[in-house]
Amino acid sequence: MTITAYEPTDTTSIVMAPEVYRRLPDNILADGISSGDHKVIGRLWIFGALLFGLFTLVADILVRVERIDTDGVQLFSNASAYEQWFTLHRVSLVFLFVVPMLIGIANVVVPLQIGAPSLAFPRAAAAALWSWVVSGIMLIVSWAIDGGLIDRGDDVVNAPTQLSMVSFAALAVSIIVASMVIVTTIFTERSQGMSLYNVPLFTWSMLVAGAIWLMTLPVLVANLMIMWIDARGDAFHSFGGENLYQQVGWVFDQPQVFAFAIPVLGMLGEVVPVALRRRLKQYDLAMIAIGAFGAFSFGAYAQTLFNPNASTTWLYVLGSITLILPLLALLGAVALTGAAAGRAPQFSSHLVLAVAGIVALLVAGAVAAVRVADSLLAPVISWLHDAIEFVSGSDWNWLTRFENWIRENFNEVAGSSLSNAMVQLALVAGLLAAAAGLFYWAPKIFGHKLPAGVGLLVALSLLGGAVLSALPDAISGFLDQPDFVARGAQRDGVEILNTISLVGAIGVLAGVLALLAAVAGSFVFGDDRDEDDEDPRNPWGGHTLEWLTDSPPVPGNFAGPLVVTSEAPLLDDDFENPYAEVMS
Amino acid sequence: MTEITLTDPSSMVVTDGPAPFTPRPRTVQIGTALMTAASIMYFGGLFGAYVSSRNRFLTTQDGLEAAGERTSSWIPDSATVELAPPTIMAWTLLMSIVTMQWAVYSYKRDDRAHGLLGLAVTAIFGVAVINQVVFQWKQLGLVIDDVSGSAAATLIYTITASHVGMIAIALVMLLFVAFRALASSATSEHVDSVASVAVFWYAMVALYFIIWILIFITK
Repeated sequence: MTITAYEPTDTTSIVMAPEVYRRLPDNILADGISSGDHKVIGRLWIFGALLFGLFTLVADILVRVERIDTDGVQLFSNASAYEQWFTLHRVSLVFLFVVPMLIGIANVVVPLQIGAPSLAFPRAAAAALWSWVVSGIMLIVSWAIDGGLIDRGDDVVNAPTQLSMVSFAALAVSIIVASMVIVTTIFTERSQGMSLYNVPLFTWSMLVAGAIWLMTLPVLVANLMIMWIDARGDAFHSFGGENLYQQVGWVFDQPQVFAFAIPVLGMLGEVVPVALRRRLKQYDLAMIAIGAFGAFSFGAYAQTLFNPNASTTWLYVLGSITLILPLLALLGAVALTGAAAGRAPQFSSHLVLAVAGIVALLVAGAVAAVRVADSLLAPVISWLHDAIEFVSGSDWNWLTRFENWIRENFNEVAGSSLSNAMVQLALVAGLLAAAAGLFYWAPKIFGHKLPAGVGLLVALSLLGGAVLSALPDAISGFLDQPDFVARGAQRDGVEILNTISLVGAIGVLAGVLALLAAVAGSFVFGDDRDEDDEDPRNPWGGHTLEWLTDSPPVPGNFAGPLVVTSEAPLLDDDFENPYAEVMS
Repeated sequence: MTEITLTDPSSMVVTDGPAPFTPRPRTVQIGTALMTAASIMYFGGLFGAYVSSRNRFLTTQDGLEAAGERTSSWIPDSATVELAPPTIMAWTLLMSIVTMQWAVYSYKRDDRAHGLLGLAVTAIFGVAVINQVVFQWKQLGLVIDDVSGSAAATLIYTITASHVGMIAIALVMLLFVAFRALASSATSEHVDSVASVAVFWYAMVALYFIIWILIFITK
């Protein structure tokens, strides 16, 4: 709800938020359901995502417990049930957990960062939220009653599977609408003087991510509609063979899976300059890096069902490898800022979380590079061998043997549990960015800071858990462990690696539980104000517009329209701060 | 700069709408353009599936033919795919572009009568196309099965049904802007809305021409 008219009586209270907006509303349910306020909608996205996230991670642990013993299926009723839970975990990790968390934070923060009073289409934002909740529940229920999208063999596609296709499509449409709202807000609601070339980096990263989601997820919906209409036919499904997961698998494969981690880069660009208490040097380079990362993560073309050679084409390879280059460029920009600052960064939990997110993303990129090494390395070695033979006349047979070894071994890992390692790391990177966002913008989202100690615990648990669960999976890939199918003849050592992987997954769950406890605890028990802060509006010394307004922001967010001239207006001498008098 | 003061909550008038601090240039148009782009990507996915599946099927048939084995066509011989109804639909939609633009032009000039007339005629064209598609589905005789080994039926039904869905959405949007114009004192206030619908409508027509060529011309 936002204010459209009022009766000014006392100008000294210009930025004082009424107490009624600082506390929980009397009727949470009615207020939440009917609200078009971007902050309420954003909080509901975040809470919903955390709850769905707990389910997701429990499902992850169950399938990892099952994998400890590879001789047969013990925990689940049969192999099909195990595969369905595995794919459910993967779908919900993206569409019920990581992406909704990022959307929730963006719903709250983006309008504040650009000086807007609200989102562009508040009712569409609310509709996206509630359709996401309903379709998410439908998805889980349909999957749980034998409706998972897996290899169905020659069976007729049953009604629960058809329901899972429709609910998955509805889930994707909800994310598309939410992305449209965020992108439109950034395009149309910016403050005067704020061009697209000087928006804050988190907003920029959400613009890039939203645009990529908006352009790629409709293709997923198209896939699901084809599957659904095919399943509605009179006889066996005729389209795309019997493997239903393969038809949507590109969403969870490289390069598309990296599109869900784009805001990781924005988060880093946001918190590092604040920690160093100066502008981001090479801001333009950081923008280009984020844009390029987004462009290279566009993965709707890499559908192996329609193009069986897609996993080995140069385009696919280059698209995957070059993801790392923009990442390095951004790190370069941040490093330049650090070097130029010549001072130690202000230590905070959100800084640790953001850095942990980048580390997870780099490791995910490295795993992705290993996965396509067959496509990249083998042709290079072949070319090298031919060149040496042409120049020197001698035949370097060991190079040919090396090339053949790479072709044999790396080609096999493409569909192995190495894929799971990559997906896990990329998505936990997104999760770490979301956690960093929650800790950084907690004063704006929840009205007060979250405990820093818990933040460090979350960072340690999430990053440590992700690495511990993903790297054994990556090694298992070379020992013939398949991505998620139950059948397969794994080699010795896989079970030990799977046990380590389970410990890592428990670590990730512990991190999310700590995050949930911090959010819930501070929301219920926390004070409205952090007494120690000199300025409760801007406890970190932030540079962007969201730190001007109250914590939490008043309805309408700002006292009036703002005029800015740079990406960090609070550092500008010429910035006319409407709150300056009250602050002094 | 207008200074706004927040004081006693009891003095505030609270509504569901966003606070009108700044003018919002073309917000509806940009939002609609983005959703139109998403729709185009959706059809891009469908067209990609259609082209690659058809290509794969025909390649298989070429192999069978070379081996002297019996071959079948992409669209099963039992199906009746007439070119006349789709062509009439294409021309109907082409005409609807003119009437849609007529409505936009009239809205800009505060010509309520012609604006509404333009929207109404456009809507009639849209309904007529839906009617023809349903007629064509009954004529087609395509069955989704795995007997022929062709995925043509699945894909043709998905693509054409999705396009009917797009027309239906466009019609709802038309209805919405028409009601807003009826309730307004000046239609020029709603040019953004009607122009947004027009963008979506034009994209829908363009997509139909691709369907016309891809499915019904090339078969």
